[in-house]
Amino acid sequence: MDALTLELLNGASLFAILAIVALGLGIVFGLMGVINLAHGEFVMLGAYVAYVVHTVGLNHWLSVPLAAVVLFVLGVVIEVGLIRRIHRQPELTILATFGLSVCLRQIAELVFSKDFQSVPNPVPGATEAFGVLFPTYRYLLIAIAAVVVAATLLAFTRSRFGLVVRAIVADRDLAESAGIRTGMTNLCAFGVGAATAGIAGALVAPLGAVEPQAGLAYLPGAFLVVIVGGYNRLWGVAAGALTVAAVQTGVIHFYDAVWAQIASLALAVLVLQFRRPTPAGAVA
Amino acid sequence: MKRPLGYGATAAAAAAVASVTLGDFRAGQLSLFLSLAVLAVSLDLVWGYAGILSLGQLLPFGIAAYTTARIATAAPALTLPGLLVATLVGATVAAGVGVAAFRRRPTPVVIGLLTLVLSLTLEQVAEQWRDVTGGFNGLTDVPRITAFGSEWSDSTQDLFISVVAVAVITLVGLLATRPIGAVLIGIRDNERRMEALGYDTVALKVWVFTVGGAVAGLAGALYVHRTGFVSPQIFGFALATNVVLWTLVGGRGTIIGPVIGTLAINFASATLADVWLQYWTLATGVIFVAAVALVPEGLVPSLLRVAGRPPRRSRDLPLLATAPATAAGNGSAVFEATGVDKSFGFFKVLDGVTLTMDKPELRCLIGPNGAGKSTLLDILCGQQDCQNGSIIMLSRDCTGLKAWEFARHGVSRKFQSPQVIGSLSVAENIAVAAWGADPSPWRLTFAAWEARVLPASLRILERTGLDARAGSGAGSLSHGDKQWLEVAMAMAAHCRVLLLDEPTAGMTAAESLAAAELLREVHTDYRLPVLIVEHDMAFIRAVADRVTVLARGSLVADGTVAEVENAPEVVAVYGGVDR
Amino acid sequence: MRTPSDSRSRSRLWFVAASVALLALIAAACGDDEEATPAAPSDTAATDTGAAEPIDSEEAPEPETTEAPDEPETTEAPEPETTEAPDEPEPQEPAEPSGEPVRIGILFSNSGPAGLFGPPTSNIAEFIEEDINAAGGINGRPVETYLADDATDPAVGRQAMEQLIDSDNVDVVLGTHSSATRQAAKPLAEDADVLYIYAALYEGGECSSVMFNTGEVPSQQLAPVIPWMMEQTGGQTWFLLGNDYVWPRRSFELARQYIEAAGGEVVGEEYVPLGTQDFSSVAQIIAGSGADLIFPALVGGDAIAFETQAVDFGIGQDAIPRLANIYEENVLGAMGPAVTAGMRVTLGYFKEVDSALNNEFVSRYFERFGADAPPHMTFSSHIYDAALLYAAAANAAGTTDTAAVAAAMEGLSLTTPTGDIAITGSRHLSQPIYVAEIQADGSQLIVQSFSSVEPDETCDPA
Repeated sequence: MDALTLELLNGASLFAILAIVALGLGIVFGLMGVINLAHGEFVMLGAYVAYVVHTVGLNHWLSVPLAAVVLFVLGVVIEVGLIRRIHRQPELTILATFGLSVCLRQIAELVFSKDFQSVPNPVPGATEAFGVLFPTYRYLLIAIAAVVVAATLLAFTRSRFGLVVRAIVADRDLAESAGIRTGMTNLCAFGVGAATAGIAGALVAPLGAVEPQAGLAYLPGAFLVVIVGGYNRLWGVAAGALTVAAVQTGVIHFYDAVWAQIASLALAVLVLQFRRPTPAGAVA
Repeated sequence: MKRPLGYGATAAAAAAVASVTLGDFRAGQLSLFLSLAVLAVSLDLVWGYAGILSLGQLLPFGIAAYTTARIATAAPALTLPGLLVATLVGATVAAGVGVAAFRRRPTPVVIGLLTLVLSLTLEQVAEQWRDVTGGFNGLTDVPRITAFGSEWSDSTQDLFISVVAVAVITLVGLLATRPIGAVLIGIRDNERRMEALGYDTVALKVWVFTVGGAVAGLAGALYVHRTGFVSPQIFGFALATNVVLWTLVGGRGTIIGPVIGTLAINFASATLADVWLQYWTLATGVIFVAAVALVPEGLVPSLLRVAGRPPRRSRDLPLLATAPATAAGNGSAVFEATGVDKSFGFFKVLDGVTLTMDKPELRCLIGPNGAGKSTLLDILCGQQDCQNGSIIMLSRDCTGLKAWEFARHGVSRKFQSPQVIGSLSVAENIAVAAWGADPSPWRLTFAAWEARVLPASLRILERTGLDARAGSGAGSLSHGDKQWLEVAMAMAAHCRVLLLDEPTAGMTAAESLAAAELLREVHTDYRLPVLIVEHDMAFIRAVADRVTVLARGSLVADGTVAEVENAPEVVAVYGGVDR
Repeated sequence: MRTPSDSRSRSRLWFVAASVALLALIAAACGDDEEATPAAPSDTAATDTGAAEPIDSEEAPEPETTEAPDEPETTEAPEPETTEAPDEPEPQEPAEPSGEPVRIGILFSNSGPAGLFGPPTSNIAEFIEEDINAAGGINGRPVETYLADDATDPAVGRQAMEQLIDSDNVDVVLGTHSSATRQAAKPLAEDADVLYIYAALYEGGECSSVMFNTGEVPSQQLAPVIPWMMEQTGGQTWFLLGNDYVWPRRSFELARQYIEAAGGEVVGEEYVPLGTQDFSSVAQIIAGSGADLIFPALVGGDAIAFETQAVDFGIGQDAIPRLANIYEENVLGAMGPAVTAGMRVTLGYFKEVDSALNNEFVSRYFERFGADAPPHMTFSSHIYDAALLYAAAANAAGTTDTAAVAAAMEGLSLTTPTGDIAITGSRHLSQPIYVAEIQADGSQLIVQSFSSVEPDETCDPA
C-alpha cells in the first residue's frame, strides 16, 4: 500500500516537473505554431538564475519570480527580434530556434564555464504524509507547478484575453481577419512561454545539475508531453504530462528506466499516427 | 536534360581531380562531406521540392548504414552489391514511413515531429539491440569497399565515393528538371490544386519520400564505408538538425545549394572548430539564426537573386495542341447529384439537394451567401464528402471517390480564389495540368519536357494574352490573369465537365462580359458542360443557358434566367433586391 | 504554341564554373591553413617557453628508465637555423632538444557532454611539452602537442583522429575520450601504423597492435576496493545503479564477481538512460531493496541529479554508503558536501595523492593556471603519464618508429605524480589505486591506497 502511495507521489512529482517544463513549449506551439527548440535552454537559464540567486546569498524562492521576469524579458526580446519575422513558416522557426539554442548554450558556457553547478535544496528532508515519507521539496514543487500551470492555462483560456487566444487557436487567419491583433498575442505567448520555462528551471535546479548542456536533457521530455497531449488545446499539456508521467513511472516500476524512455517515444509515435491533429497556430 | 549532365560531368571530374591532387587528408574529407551532401540532397528532394519537412531523413540513412556495415563485415566481397542493397533498404524504410505517415494527411509540422520522434526511437533501439547493432559503441572496423578481389585503399575509395556521390547528386538534379520536378513543386505550393488536376498527391508524396529514402540509403552506405563505423548517434538529434541546416543555408529547392551548404559548413567547422573552440560553436549558432532570419531561402538562391535572376528559371516548354476528348453526354446525363446532405457540426449546409444536368449546357448556380454553393461544387468534384446522397458523374457512380479520381474521370474545377502554382511559370502551370491526365511518377520522370494540351485551354491562353507571358512566374500574375490561368489549367487535359467557382470575381463589368463571351465560345465549340457559381447577374444573363437557385441548403428555383429572375421564391430569397 | 525561350545559358555556365571554383577555393584555403598553423592552442609557443624559462630539473619529473635520453641520431641533421649545435648531453643536465619536432597528438573531449574534462587536459598538454623538452626531448628532438576535440561524438572523433594522423602527421596519439570514439578512431591508427595510447578510465578489453591502454579498468578499481569497502562499512548487500552503456555494464559484471567472492550479495541492478533527470522511482526501488551499499556508476549531470534527489528520499550517503568509481571533483563539488560527505571514490589518481612529486606538480599546476583552474584529475593525470611513458619508450628505442616504441613500451616502468606505474604484458597499466573519502568540507582525503594494482586483462596482438 505504502509502495503504491509512494509510486503515486513519484508519478505526481514527475507529472509536475514534466508539466511545468513543457508548459511554455505547449503554449508557444499551440498559439503560434512555433516549435521552439531553444525551450530547453530557457529552462537551463532559469536554473542559472537560481544559481546566481544562491551565489549572492539570497533565498532560493526568490529565484522563481526572478527567473520568470528575466526569461519573460528575454522571450520578448527574442520574439520581437527574431520570431516575429518568421513565425508563419514553421520550418524556419524550427531552424532559427535551433540556432538560438546553440547560441544560448555557448553564451552560458562562456559566462558560467562548463563546470557543473548546483543549487542547494532550500527545504531538505522529507515530510510524512499519507503514511509515507516523501521529500518536502517535491511536495512544494508539485504545489507550485500545479498553481503555475493552472494559473497560466486559466489566463490563456478563461479570461477575456483567453477568448482572443482561443479564437486564434481555433483559426488564426479568421481571427486576424476579424481584427484580432495576433502580434500582441504572439508577444504575450512567447514571453509567458519563456517565463514559465524560467520558473521550471528555477524549480528543478535543486534537483540536479546546473550546467550549460542541461537544456538538451529537458527538451525531449517536453516534446513528448506536447505531442502526447496534443497542441490544439492548451490543456493538452496537462493531459500529456499526466500520460507520460504515468507511462514512465509504470514502466520503471514494472520493468526499467531504459524501456520507460522507449515506451514514451513509442507512445508519441502512436499518438502522432492515430490522432487527427489540426495544429492550432500552425499555418497549413 | 543536357545541362545538368554537363554540370554533373564537370563536377565529377573536378571531384576526381581534387581527390587526386588534394592529398589523402583533404581527399578523405571531400569524400566524407560529399557523402553527407548526398544525404542533404535527398532531404532537398523531399523538403525543397515536395515540401515535406522530414527531420527523419536519418532513418533510411542510418538503417542503410547499419545494413551496409553488417554486409561488409560478414561478406567483404559483396560490398559493391551491398551499395544496391543499401539503396533498396533506404527506399523500403522510407516507403514504410511514408505509407504510414502520409495516408492520414498530416500537416507539415506533424510530419516533422513524427519523423524526428521515430529517429530518436530508433537511436534508443539501436543502443539496446546489442546483438545486431553493437549497442552503444556501435559497429566498428567496417571494411572499405572490396572489389576486383581486394579491399580498396583509402585513396581509391575516396575517389570512388566522391565520384559516385557527384553522380547521384547529378541524377537527383536531372530528376528535378524532369516533369516530375515541376509536379513536386506543384504539390509543395498547392496540394489542393494538384489533387483537382488528377494527381494522387498522397501516392506522389510516398513516391518522392521513397526515392529520397533510396538516395539517403546510398548516402548511408557510402558514409559507413568512408568512416568505417556506425553508432546509434547516427539517428541522433544533432545530425538530424545539421542536415536540415546544411540544406537550408545552401538553399532548398536547388540541387547545388545543399551541396555547397554541406561542403562549406563542414569544411569550415573541421578547420575552425579546433582553432576557435567555443567561439566557433557560438558562431555556428549565430550563422543559423542569421541565415534563417536574413536569407530564409538559402545562400545560393539569394546570391542568384542579387545577381538579378530567379533561383529557378523556367525552361522553354512547348505546349502542343492535342485532339479534344469526345464530348460528354451522348444521350446520358452529364451529372446527377441526388439527395445530397452535408452538415458541419450542427449546421446543415446542404439538405437533400438534388441537382442534375441532362445535356451539355452552361448552367449557373446562384444564391445568397451561405447558401451552400461552394460546398455543393466541392462535393461535385470530390473535394468534400457528403453525408448522404449519391453523385453520378458522366454515367459513373462517383460517390465517395477522392478529388483526384473525379479529376481523372474528367471533372475539372476552378476554385473561388484562384489557385495556381506560384513558383512555376505560366507554361509550366498548364503543362502540370496537362500531365495530370496520366500522372504516374515514373512516366513523369521519363516523359519529354513538353505538354499536350487541349485546344480549349490553348484558346483561352491565346485570347487572354497569357500565351505571350508563358515564361513568367504564375505567382507574379495579376488576380484576373490568375483566374484565367486557372481556367485554362482546368481545361488543359481530359476535361469533360467544368466547374467554375466565381470566375469573374475581381473583374470589371467589361471584363466580365468578355469572359462570358469567351466561355460561351468554348462551350459551343467543344460542347463542354459548364457549371458556374456566380453572383454577377449581368454575367449570368450573358452566359447562362439555365440557372439554378440555392438558398439555405435547398434548391429554390430552376429555369432560364428570365424564368428564375421572376420567380417569387427567388425574389423572396434575395429580398427583392436584384443585383 | 511555344513559350518564349530565354537564353541565358552562358551566364548560367558562368555560375557553375564559379561555384566549382568556390569549392576548390574553400578546399585549398583549408589546406593552406592546415599547413601554416598547427591546430593546437599550445603550439610552438610552448617550445619557446620551454627554452626561455629555466626549469628546475626537480620540477620536471625525470623518467626513471634504464636508459638516459639518447644522443641525437646522426641521421637527423640539425636544422641550420638552430643557434646551438646539439652537444653531448652532460650528465644530469639534458641538452636542449632541437631538430624536427616529435608530434604528440591528443584526442580529447572539449565540447559536448564530456567537454567538462577538456580544460584540465589542454592545460596538461602545456606541461607535457615543457617537461619532456626540459628533460631533453625525445631522442634529442623537441616535442609539440596537437589537440583535437571529439565533441563527445564518435563521428567527430573519427574526423579529429584523421586530422591528427593525416594532416598534423603526429607520431603518437594520446587519447582521453569515450570508448565509442576509441572504437571509431582505432582503425585509423592501425591503418596508419600510429601508436595510440588510450589513457581514459574505461571498461577494459581493448587489444590492438598499435594500442596501449593506460586508464583504470574496472578490475583495478574494484578488485581490491570492494572487499575493503565491505570490511570498512560492514555492509554485505549492494545495489548497482548505472547509466546504460558499456562501461557501467562491464563494471557491474565484475563488481558482482568481487562482491560474491567477498561473501556479499547484489540485491539490485538498475540502468537509466544517459540524461535522466528524475530518480524518484529508482530511489524507491533502491529504498525497497534493503541494500547496505550503493555502487553508482553514473556520469555527469545524472550523478548529480541522483545524489541530490537521493538525500531527500532517505537513501543518501548517511543511510546507504556509496562506493563510486567515476565521481570526480567537479561532479562532487556540484553535489555539495552536505550530500557527498563520507562517500568513497576509487580512482587511479587524485590531486591529493601525497608524494613529493605530486605535491610539486599540483602546486605548479595551480600556480600556472590559477587557484580556480579546472582541477587536475585522473583523466589529465593519465594523459600526462601516457606522454611520459611514450617519451621514455621512444628514448629507449632510439626512434619514433611505432613497432620499436611499442616493443620498448612493454614492461616499461616509471614513477610519476600518479605513483609507480608499469606497462603490463596485456598492454594495460599496473598502477596505484586510491580510495578517497569525501570530507565534511568537501575535500577529498585519501584513506586507502593499493600500489601496483594489476589489471585483469589479457592481450596478445599477433
